[in-house]
Amino acid sequence: MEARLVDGLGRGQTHWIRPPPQGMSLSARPFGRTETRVMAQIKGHRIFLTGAGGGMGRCIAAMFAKRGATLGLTDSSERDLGQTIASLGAEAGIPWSRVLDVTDASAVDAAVRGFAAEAGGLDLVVNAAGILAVAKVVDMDPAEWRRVLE
Amino acid sequence: MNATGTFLVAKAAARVMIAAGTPGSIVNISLISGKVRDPTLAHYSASKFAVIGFTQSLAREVAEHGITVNAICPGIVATPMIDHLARAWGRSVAEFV
Repeated sequence: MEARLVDGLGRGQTHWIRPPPQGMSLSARPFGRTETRVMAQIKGHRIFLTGAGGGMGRCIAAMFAKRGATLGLTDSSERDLGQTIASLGAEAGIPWSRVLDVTDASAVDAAVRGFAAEAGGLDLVVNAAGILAVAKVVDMDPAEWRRVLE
Repeated sequence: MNATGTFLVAKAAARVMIAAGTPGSIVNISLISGKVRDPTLAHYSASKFAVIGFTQSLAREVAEHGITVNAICPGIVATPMIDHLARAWGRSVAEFV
């Protein structure tokens, strides 16, 4: 069986890698040739990330941190953002971070500019911030519709 | 939040990248709901369809500046968001993943 690693490089690429030896977790296995090439592409990239406080955003932050990217991490929750930063480990250093409401236009502008100025440029932005709500349309409060869309 | 947030961040990023004159990438996370229509997720699906349309249009606007814009439509990933969905639907996360 082959393990599949999909990297969010924005090019729809899928990288196939050999499965880890018996008993070794995927994250613990040494980097293969393909993985080394992907790391070389990402190392030093200045990456701005929203929704970094949990779920896929936290996972993406860890993936890029492991590959030597310069990260700008944002989330609406200071507590969740702090947990993500703590989870990255010491080798990631202390990444640039900011509590950010992505629906606040001026705050978003200031955060993106602030990170780009600090990092000396901007190579990649990942919009991982999002919310999910569950309701039948016939019961849905218009405010709930606006909260999810806007 | 899902549509407007994506727009505002992409706008700010595109302005910075164009001003710097350097190539860059913008990646928006849609979801399989941006392709599949599930009951009780009309607003969520609408927001994720919006992300796809926005992404494709923006990609054509900024291509001349060497900026690529893409959307990812992951399937179900075991996150707190899916915990919430499973609870709302009275099902276990294991049934989804």
